[in-house]
Amino acid sequence: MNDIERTRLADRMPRVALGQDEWTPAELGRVAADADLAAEWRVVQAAARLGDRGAALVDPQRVAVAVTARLDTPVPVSGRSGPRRAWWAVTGLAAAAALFLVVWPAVRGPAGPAPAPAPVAASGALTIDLPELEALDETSLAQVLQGVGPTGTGGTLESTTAPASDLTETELHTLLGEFEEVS
Amino acid sequence: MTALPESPPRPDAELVAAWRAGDQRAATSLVERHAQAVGRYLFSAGARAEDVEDLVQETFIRAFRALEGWRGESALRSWLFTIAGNLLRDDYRRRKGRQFVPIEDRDLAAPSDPEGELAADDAAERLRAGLAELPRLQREVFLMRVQGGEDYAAIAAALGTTPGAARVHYHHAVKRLKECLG
Repeated sequence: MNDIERTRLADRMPRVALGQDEWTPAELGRVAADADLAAEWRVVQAAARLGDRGAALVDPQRVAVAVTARLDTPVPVSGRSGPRRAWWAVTGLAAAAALFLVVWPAVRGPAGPAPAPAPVAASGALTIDLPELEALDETSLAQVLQGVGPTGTGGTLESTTAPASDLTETELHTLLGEFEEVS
Repeated sequence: MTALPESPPRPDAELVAAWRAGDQRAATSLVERHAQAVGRYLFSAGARAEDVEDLVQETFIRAFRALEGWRGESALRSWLFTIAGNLLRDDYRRRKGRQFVPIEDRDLAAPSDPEGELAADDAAERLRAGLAELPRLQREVFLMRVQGGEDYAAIAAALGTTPGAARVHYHHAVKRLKECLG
């Protein structure tokens, strides 16, 4: 028997073992006469037999009833999603506050005294990507900015005596502390 | 009176579409069609006899809730086997290892040839132990092929590999299982 015939017989074994195909007497003789094929056939038959045991453990109608009943029941919302959302909200607010402190002096323009040259780190921070804010709608974003400005600085933004970039490190820490207390 | 010819069974894809459109009976048909095949697969892959039906049920629940994940190019049954395999792995992790329960007497049909039946059961049990030792892909390809009757293309699509690689995994599995049966 050549390799092509051997492969053809081996390829058919699963279907024969599952009862979806049959050996002819001649094929059965060839399988039995070839030690390798005979050993493979024993493996496939044993696997099919093993599978029959598994199939006997399942009542398809009972499973169908249970599955359709469960599919009718709404899936409960994961218990972690609430805290997770809250965490993202807090993170988003903090990021918005930090961004605001860096950006505001730059956009405030000529209303105040001539702004000091922005430090390199600050101008770099302008490009910070904040995906947390992308999830917020326009109203929420406005609320975030509103909440950050007046309450965080203890008055309106315009009443701030100096841009944030003019503050000393200690003043900046105090400002951030106030903001964190409020938020 | 001549009996009316039976209409051919509806393809899986059609039943899936019907279920998505709200036809509850389509879900029932799909479960009834594939439940025993999934049971075969799970038991052979090492599931405990008392867990098989629960695992089958869970497989279908996960499948129906993730039907968007079924890319019609693989057979639904192969996709179900993949889900069942993942469930079984999770189950093993929870139990911190594999536990094999011998085939129970109540599962056996009345033997017409008691000695032959015993020998065959012994072979099946040794095969089950051998399957547990195979690398995951070899075991999954082997079981999908031998118990699902799937061709290599369908298996490859379900497991995210190529038909050629699936064939190689199958042959490695057979080689090692031959040694188990001695």
